[in-house]
Amino acid sequence: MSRKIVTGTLFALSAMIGLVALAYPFLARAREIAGTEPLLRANEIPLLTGLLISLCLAVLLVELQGQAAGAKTVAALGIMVAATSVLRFIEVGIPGPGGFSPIFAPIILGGYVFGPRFGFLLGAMTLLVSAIITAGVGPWLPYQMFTAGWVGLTAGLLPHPRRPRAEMALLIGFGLLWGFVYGLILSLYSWPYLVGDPLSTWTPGAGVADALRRYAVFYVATSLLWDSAAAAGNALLLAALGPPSVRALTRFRGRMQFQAVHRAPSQAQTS
Amino acid sequence: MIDVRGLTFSYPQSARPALREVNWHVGDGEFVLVAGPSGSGKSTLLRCLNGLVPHFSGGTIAGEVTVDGLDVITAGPRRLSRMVGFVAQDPEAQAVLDQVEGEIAFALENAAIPPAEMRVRVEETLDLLDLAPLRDRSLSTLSGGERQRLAIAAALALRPHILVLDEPTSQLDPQSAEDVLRALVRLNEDLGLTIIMAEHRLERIIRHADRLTWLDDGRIAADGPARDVLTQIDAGPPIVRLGRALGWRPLPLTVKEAKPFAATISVPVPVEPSPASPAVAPLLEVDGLRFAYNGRQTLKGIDLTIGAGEAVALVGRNGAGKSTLLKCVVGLLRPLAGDVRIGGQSTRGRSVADICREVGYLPQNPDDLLFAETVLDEFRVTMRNHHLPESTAELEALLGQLGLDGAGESYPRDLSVGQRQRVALGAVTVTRPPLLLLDEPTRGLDAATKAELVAVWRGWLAAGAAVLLVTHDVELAAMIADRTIMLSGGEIIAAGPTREVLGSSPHFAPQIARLFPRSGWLTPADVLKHIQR
Amino acid sequence: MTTFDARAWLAWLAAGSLLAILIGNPLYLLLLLLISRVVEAACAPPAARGRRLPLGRISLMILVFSTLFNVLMAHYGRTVLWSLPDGWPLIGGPLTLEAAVFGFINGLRLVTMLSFFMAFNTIVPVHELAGLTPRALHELGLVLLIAITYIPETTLQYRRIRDAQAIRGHEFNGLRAWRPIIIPLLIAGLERALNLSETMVARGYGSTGGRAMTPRARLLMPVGLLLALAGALRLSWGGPDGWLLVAFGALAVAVAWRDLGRLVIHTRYRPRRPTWADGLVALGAIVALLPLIWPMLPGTGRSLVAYSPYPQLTMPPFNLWVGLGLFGLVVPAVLALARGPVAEVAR
Repeated sequence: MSRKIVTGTLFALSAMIGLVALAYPFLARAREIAGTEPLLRANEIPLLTGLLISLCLAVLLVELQGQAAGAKTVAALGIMVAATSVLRFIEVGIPGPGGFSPIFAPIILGGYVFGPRFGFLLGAMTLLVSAIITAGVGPWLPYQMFTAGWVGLTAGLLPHPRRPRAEMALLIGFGLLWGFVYGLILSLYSWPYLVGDPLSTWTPGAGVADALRRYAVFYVATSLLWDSAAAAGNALLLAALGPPSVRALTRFRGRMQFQAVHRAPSQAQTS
Repeated sequence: MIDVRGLTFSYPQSARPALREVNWHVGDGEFVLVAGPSGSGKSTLLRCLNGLVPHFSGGTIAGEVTVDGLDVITAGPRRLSRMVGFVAQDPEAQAVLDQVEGEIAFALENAAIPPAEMRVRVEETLDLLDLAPLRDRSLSTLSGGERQRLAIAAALALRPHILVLDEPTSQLDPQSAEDVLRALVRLNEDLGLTIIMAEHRLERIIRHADRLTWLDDGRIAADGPARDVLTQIDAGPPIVRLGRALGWRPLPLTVKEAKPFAATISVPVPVEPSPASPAVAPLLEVDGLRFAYNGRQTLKGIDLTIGAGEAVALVGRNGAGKSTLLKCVVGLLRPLAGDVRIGGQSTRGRSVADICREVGYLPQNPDDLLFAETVLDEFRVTMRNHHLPESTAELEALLGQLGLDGAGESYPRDLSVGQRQRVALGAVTVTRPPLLLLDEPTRGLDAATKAELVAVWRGWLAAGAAVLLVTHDVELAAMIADRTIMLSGGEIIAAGPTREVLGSSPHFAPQIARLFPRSGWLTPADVLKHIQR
Repeated sequence: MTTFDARAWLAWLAAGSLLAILIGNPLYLLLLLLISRVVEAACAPPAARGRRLPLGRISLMILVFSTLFNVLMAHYGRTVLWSLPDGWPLIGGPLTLEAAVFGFINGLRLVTMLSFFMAFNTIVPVHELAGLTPRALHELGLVLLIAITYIPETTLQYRRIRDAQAIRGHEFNGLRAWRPIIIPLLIAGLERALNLSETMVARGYGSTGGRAMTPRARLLMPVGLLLALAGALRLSWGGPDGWLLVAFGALAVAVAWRDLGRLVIHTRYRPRRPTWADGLVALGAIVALLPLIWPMLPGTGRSLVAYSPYPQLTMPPFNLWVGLGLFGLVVPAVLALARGPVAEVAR
């Protein structure tokens, strides 16, 4: 039980750190109104956020690994990550309305069936492995891993409705939501990479609201279309493949768990 | 030394015990074969020897299993891995890493062996199994036989003196199986390794085994020297079955041992082949088929014809082009030249789905087909794919034909291997296709299951279907095929009645044919029929 | 086997990206970009690995976007190119050259960083990347290796299943058509995972339960995160000592990791021994970082690498010493060319 509390605390702390890292440009801006110099130039913010997110990842990965160290989980994770990463090849190859990434539907389903811990690891490791094999390791990898981990984690926390229609609706809604939220979060993280010094971009005297407005423009210009495609894609995939996949995976859940060993009293029978 | 006393084991959530009151003893350096029908508990017994049962599988266990004085039930697989090496059936699911050397080192790394000693051991193990020329290769380029040898090497890295193998050759072609078995024999004879192996097809290995343990329904039915056990049990390679039926004692296990007995039987002059039966309308015609892959010619002009009610076997070494031919017939691969006609109609330009309405193709891995929730649903999916009406009555009739009565609502993947095979067969034949293509359908099946499948096919043949069977199992070909075609390097090198083609081939002749050359006999039944006359 | 140890390349990458983020002077940035391209050309193995992102196209897109975005958002600077009516929200006002240059520099920063990452991706093969896994993450490293091993298997399996479904009349129309492919793929994959795990256990892999942690590690991890959180909040509220808090948090986590790494009973086959060449590469990376560290030393004053086009566009300065320092990152290329063409060395 205490294990759960520790893990829960770590998740809560890392969530808070993640949010602070996300909101840092706005927080710093809020301070700036007070008149003092911002502490970090915009191009240094990624250093801070990168460090914070990597720290959160380091802690969460190690903590979850400790709980999932059995051979079955390692093998299952490895092979599911392999299957999901293969899908990323499709994404990299599609020239069309980008943003649609087929990897999120399996991450959501994996987390939904096997639990939040498995889901986090599935999300984080899928992003890692697919980045490695598509030669796409970039400075945003920690953010991707972290956020994808949260996709899997939250999927594991979803309730399991009895009625299949309700389940399908739940999964589709979840996929839609994360399609947008993932894109939102990642573009928030990557905003400081691309956008300049708060001192120059924003005219002095403007407040947090102004910063938010500028971010909104940035988001619309870069992400909105992308994320709509992602959200729609998730929804479609989950609608078409979700429920039967859930059923197939659930049958495995029992076999994956550690089975207890009972020792029966030896019966001395005369043959 | 392995000592098993009063072992009773049931898997979790299973009412029937998998093993009942097993008492068994294996001494150092023995080569023991464990055999028995499917589901008799062979795999379970083998896994008890290194702790996988019960530690990995869970379940309820009673009795004692001691390996070299260590109690398996308390010790656990990690400690036992140093004494017992384990190799499973599927060559494709045993590799952790993608490199040959790293794979062997995996066990050593987990045991925290120092790097210098690791190097030495890896080198030695590579040499032990002739894997040194393959050391730089990536895993996906290795053949099944090479991968199994690698699995054996990886199991031996920690220098265990007991090696346990669960049907290691059942997924391999005969050539690779030979390589693996030869390596095992060498390990046993030169290094004194204790080898315990489960196997269905005993022909190749029975002469090397010291002992045969026969399991049935979780109990040991017979245990002792192979000759003695096979005298009591109604199973075994064709020569053994013949010898048992004719009362030859001591029971011969190989062709050589059976020769003196065979000499007592007068071989008749082979009967002139009966005049060709009246021309039946050909169901399948292949004309000058050519196929190339990556610039390499895999099929160089194939001509063949199959008529209704005929079963034709296609044999040949690995890589001869057998599966390629089947795929060309069914439309999965587009040939470079030549024509395929089914029921008189050419397949050129038609989609695979269209062609498959008249052709039932059972692929090598029938599990690839199964995805529905129930067996009947599998059949319905195929009907729906072809836009044909689904009639539950007809589907149930098909179930009956396949011997799957009562399994209509079961989850296909919960069924046994043989039953799954039949479900897959049903899924591709639910449209009652006149032509049936079977790609290695009996790989890994035991004799009883094989016989059941053969009965189903014979039923369909009698109803006018045609069967083209690709197989390495010459005994199967002898049982069911009227004609046999031998393929090598993409060309047909022999074609004719099975009796002639297989009977005279040095490489592909079944045991009975080798025992009685030039007799035209292929199965024990042939011999017995002659004698009874 | 690459030209150099993966850890040396990691140091090279870290130095390059750090410089790319922190340098504001476009001349230095261009120099860095050039250096990274040269190193990739010199050290990349002959076979192009994986799928390469079209760096040229992406760079162009980034530069155009960042320039335009900044021009339209920031209305600062003396050299006015054009003017939009003030009434327009956000984009109204003077569009200045300085803003355009600033935006360009931002984009250039990102492009330079990407260039370093691209070079790293191309040069370091997948196996060595997987070998970089720290000890504390041993099991996840195994997950990584297994995933990499089974990716070709998955592709093969997918083709087999696709063929198998085709022969029962399945036609690919619409999304629902993927059901008979994905479900068997998932099931086959999980079956395979169970078989694989059985083999792993049979070869002595760990336990079937979890591994206990030392109490110190268990404590240090939440403490570390707490410190980092406090530090981040403090930084956003304007206290530079926030960095100290974050640093301590990182330290706590690092100690916890080391503890956990010690718990792992595992040796490594063929550990890669660093050679003098690897050391040179790492040294070159450190030398390149000197211009950043210089201003932090007492008595030296302002930053050597900063530059701002505001308020009036001027020619950016170029300090020869800084330039030379940056050349520390070209060491791998020099060594590689001295060694001769990279052969596909047998492992």
